[in-house]
Amino acid sequence: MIKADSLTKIYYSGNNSYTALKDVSFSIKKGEFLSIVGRSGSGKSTLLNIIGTLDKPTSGSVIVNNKRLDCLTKKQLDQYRNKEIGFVFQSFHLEPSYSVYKNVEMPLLIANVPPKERKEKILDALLKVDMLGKEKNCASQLSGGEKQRVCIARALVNSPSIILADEPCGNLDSVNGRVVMELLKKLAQEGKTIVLVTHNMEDAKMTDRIITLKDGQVISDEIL
Amino acid sequence: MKFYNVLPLIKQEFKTNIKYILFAFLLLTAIFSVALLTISLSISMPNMIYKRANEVFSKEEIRLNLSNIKYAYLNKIFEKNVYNVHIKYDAENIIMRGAILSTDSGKLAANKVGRVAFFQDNNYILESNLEKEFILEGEKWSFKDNAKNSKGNYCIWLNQRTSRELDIKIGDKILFSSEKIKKPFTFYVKGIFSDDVVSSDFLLPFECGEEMLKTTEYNTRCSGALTLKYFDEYLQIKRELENLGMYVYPIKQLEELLFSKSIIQGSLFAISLLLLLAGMGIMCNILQMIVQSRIKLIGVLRAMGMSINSISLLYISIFEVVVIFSVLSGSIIGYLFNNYSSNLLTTLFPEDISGCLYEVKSILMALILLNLLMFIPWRVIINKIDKLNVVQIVNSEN
Repeated sequence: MIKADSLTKIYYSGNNSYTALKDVSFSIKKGEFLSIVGRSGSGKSTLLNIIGTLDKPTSGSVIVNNKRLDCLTKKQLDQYRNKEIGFVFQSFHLEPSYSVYKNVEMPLLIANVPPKERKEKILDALLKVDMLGKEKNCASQLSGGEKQRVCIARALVNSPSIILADEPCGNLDSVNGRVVMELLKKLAQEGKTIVLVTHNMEDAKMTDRIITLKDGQVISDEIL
Repeated sequence: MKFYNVLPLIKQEFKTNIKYILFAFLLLTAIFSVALLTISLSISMPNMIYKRANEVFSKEEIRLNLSNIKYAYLNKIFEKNVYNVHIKYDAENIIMRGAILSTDSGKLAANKVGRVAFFQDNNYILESNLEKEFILEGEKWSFKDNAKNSKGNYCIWLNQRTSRELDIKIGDKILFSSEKIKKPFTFYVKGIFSDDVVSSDFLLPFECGEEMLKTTEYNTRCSGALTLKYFDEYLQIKRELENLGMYVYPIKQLEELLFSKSIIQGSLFAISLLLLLAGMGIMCNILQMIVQSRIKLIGVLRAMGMSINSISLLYISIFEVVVIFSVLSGSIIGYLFNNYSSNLLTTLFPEDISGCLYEVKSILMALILLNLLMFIPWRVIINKIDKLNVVQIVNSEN
């Protein structure tokens, strides 16, 4: 489903350059729950951003569902991010002045989903993350765990096939972290492909496969 | 992304950014009210000056005095948009020198010394005189009539004295020849006018007189005057006549008035344009402020696949609403101020200043102009969003 082929990412700053990824190749099957682990600066977030088309590799390519991402136009990339990908961010990035409902609604508005269908999908997504009944609450009034659950609801409301989670438990306590990980595991069991970036081995062990990065290179690829 | 799907976001963003929007609204209202006031004044003040000029320079008085007119230039003068042309030239003497008039009844008037007046289409004074029933017999002169009858003879109007002397009746034919005219002209008598109307024995269609003069070698210089139809054309017609080599005696008062009109109009218009440009600059800055304050949301929206154009549309739409409302409220305030200032001016100069038409024009003008100017903020916002580092935003801490 996802195939990364010789991915290299070099950041340039004036005359200096920094290699974040060096010839990284791997493939992920549909429905796989995969974690990418490594120390800070190992290139795991960069890898996730490249798969999510938020960033471009310096060389190499990513193929998702038989489509080479570097061959897509701007419009096609926007559609890919909207329909194929769901992002879960460490800092949630919910709009604090919007209600839970409005926050979850955003991807559906972008996808031009009709209002009636929109409502059904939002309530369904909130039900999955156990946030039904709080849809009218303002995002700023939620706890960290609740925010992350709303973030997950927003990621899956458009029924994407891939969910990219960047340190989803990074800002949560252990109890809420566990809840979020259980939720992601459940989504994987339902057939979603989940790529999790974490530096917490406890969380990584809950996934089906662990790719370890060091200095921008894959040092291990372990199926659990 | 369809526009109707952007609407819920517009509504939400409107609520969230209300303090910026309110600030922009008040600021732009103030700018537009002043700008519209100046635009409005730049239109209504010259109008007031025109009205005043009309009082001061009646149609008959706005007369360009000419000197050294060559006959060859007469046609060009007649092409001008003028009420009347008074040309002092000795055409009468030339035409009438050695003139012989013969009628059907065989009567002759040899070496007739008389005067001839040529009609011109826009001979305002003559027209008004003839309308006062100076025609004693026959048809009234109609400028729209053909100058010739069906047999190709030019029409002629005689004064009562000449018609008595030669015993001429309506419908008679007159043969006219003179020393300077190579080919005799046959006229058809169409009317007899009172001796008081003009100091002429004959009234001829202008084109007939022109044809007569062409047959002579008449090319001398003479003096004359043009009565202008529109006094604001004064400078242009004067310039054109001077280009023809004529000296035009200036009307100083009118020149000063037209100069002050152009200065007032130009400066007010420049001020209003500058204000509108300042308004546009402020719009750009406020838009940038909004984009800056919403940078996280914009980054997340981009990550979710919202296109740059849709995001721009979202904020531009909000701003369009602000601009429309501030233009309208600014217009109302500007209009009220303009009314007040117009009243003040009317008190100072007791001419009536025109109604709301000018204000409506200015509002429309401002709206069109502002929407054209919105193109620049639109480009600014697109560039700004395009340059956003989405990776940095989504990876940043709250």
